[in-house]
Amino acid sequence: MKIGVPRGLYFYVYYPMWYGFFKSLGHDVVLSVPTNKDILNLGVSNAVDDICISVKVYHGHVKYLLDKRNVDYVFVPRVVSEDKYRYTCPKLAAMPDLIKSAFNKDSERILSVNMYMNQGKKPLLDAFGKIGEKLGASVKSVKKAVKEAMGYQEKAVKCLRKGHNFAEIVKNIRNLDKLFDEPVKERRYNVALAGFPYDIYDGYMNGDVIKHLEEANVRVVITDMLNPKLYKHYTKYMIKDLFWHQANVAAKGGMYYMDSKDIDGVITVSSFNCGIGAIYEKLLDLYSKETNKPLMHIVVDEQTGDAGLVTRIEAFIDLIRVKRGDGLVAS
Amino acid sequence: MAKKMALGIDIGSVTTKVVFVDEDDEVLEGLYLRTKGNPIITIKQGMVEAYETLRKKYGEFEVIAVGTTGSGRQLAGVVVGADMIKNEISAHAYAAIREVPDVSTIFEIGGQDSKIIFIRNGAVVDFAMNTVCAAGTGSFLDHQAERIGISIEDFGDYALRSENPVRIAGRCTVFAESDMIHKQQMGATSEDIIAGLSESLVRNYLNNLARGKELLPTFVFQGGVSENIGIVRAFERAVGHEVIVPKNNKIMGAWGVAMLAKREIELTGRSTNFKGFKITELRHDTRVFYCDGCANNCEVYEVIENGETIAYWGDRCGRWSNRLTSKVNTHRNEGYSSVNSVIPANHAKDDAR
Ligand code: SF4
Ligand code: SF4
Repeated sequence: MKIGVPRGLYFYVYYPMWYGFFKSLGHDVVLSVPTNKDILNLGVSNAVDDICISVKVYHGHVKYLLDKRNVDYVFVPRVVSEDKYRYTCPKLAAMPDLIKSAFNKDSERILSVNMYMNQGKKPLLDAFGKIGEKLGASVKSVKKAVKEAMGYQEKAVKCLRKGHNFAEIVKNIRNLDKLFDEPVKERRYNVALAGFPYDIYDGYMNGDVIKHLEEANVRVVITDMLNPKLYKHYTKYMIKDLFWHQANVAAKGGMYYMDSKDIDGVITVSSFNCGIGAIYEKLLDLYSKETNKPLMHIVVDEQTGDAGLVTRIEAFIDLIRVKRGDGLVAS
Repeated sequence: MAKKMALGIDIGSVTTKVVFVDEDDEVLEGLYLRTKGNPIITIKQGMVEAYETLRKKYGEFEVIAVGTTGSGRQLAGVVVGADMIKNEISAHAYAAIREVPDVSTIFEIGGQDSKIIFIRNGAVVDFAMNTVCAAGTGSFLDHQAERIGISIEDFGDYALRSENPVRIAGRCTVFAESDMIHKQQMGATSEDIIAGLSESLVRNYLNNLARGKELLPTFVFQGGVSENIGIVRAFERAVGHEVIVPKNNKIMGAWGVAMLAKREIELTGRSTNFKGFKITELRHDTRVFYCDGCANNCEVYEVIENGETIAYWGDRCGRWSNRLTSKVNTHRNEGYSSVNSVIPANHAKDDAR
C-alpha cells in the first residue's frame, strides 16, 4: 500500500520513526512536496480561519496527498504527549479531528492513532499495533516494525546531536549511518534558531531563514539538536516547565544557546497566531538581558518572504559581524 | 585633478534619497525626492540634478564608489552599478554613529516605515522595524494633515503653538481619524489637535517598536518625519530627555551607504562598478512575472537595460538568476512597466569618468 505522510507539524520530529515502521511492513511512504504556494493556498482555504499558519499549511499537505488517487491512506497521528506530563498544543492534539472535519468526504482514508512519545516501548507498541491491525499486518511483523521504527528514530537523533539538521535527515533517510559519519560544516559565524521544528524547517513559510543565513557564512544550529539534559536546569528561569513540550525545547534550548560562547546570536521562529510562541519569545527576551546575546524574533504569517524579513536578517548578520570585529565592509 | 566622490542612493517606497560625499565623507549634494511610483526614473532624475549642481560647483569630478540601500536597494544597485548593497538598518546606523558617536538610541521615521536601532559602544546591538502598520509612520501624518487641510510643512509650528494637546486615541489610523473628528466637533483648536496627533504618533511608534526595551540617551531622531519640530518635542516629552536631530537628518541612509561603499573600495582596492552617468540615458524596463517552472510560482523580477536583461531576483531556486540569457517562455503581460529615458541626450558625453 501507499501511505501518505504530510510534510508538516510532527513530521519534522518523528518522520524517521514513521518511515521505519511503514517500510518494515512493506508499504511505500509517499511524502507531500515541500510547502509551496499551492500547498499554502490549499491549507488556507481548507482550514478554519483563526488558526495558526503552521496548522493551515498542514491542511494543505494533507489535501495534496488526499488528491493523489494512488495514496491509500494519509497518516495523521494525534501526538498527545512527548514525555510524562509533557503534552502538545491543543491544536496538535486535535489534529485528526480537525483534518477529518475539513476533509469529511475522505475521512476513511485518514489513518489516525493516539501517540504517547518518549515513554517507553509499551505505548508505541499499542499505537502502532492499532495501525498495523488496520493495515492487516500480523502481531509479529508489527513488533518487528516497531523495533525498526525505533532504530530509525535513534539514528536520526544521533545525527541531530552531532549537528546535522532535520532537513538533512529527511534527505538521507535511507542512509542515516552515512549521514552520521559525514562531518558537520564549520562556518565563520554561528547562529542558533529556537522554535518549533515545523516552523524552522519550512523554508517556504519562513522566507528561507536557514538558506539566507548559510549564504552569509553562518552555521545554523537548532534547538532540536540539543540533548535535553543540557538545558534541564534552565527551568529555574521560568518558575516551572511549560505544559507544552516543544515550547520547553524552544525556551530552554534558546537559553542554553544564549549562554554558549560560540553562538553569535539567537533567532526565534514562530507562527503568527500561536499563543505559546509569544510566551517563549518573552522568556528569551528576559534572558537575553542577562546574557547580552543578540536576539531576534521572526514571526511567520501568510505573507512569506517579504522584503522586510530579508532586511532584518541582513541587519542581524551585520550586527554579529561587527560584534566579532569583522566590520560592515569587505565581506 | 578631478574631485573624487562617492554616491549613495536610498530607495524607499515613498521617497528616494541621492547623496554625493567627498573624500572626508562630507555631503556635497543631497537630494530628497518623491519616488512617485517609478524608482528608476526617480534615481535618474536625482542623478542628473545632482550632476548639474556638482559640475557647476566643482567642475570635473569622479565617482569612486557607489552604494545603495532601502527597500529598492537591489534594483538601484543593478541599474547604477553598486559596490555595496546594504540593508537600511546598517546604513542608517552607520551615518548616525558618524554624526553622533555616543548615540545609544536611534529613532527613524520615514514615509512608509519606521525603525528603532539600539547602539552600544558604537555598534548596533538590537533593532526593530515596522513595515506593516501605518500608525507609527509619516503617512499617518500626511493623511491627517490632508484631513485638517493644513500642509504637512506647517504641522510642526502648529503643534508648538498648542497649549493643551488633546489626547487622540491613535492605535490605528482609522481610530485616530474618527477620534480626531470627534475632538474637532467638540471644539478643540487645530493647534491642539495637531499636537495631540504628534503625541499619538510617538506613542504608537514607541509601543510598536520599543516595547520592553531600554531607552537610553543619547537619542538621535532621523528620517523625513524628523523635520517636524512638533514630533521632535513629542519625543522629548516621551523620553524625558533631549533628542538630537542630526545634520543630514533626511538622507542618513543614503549618506551611510555612500560612506560604506567608499570603505569597501578602499579596503578591497577594487575599482568601482559604477556604470557612469550614461545610465541616465539608457532605457530600463522592469517587469514582474510568475514563473511556471514549478508549484512555487515565484514572483520573479526582471530588469532590462536597452533590451538586455541585467538582473533577475525573486526566484527561489535560482532558475532565472543563474542564467541570465535564458529564453524560457513566460507570461510577458504581467505587470509590465516601461521606463524610458527621461534624460536629455547631451548628458551622455558628460560622463564624468
Ligand atoms: S503550538 Fe502554536 S504553532 Fe504549533 S500548532 Fe499550536 S498554535 Fe500552532
Ligand atoms: S523560479 Fe524556480 S522555484 Fe520558482 S517557480 Fe520557477 S522553477 Fe519553481
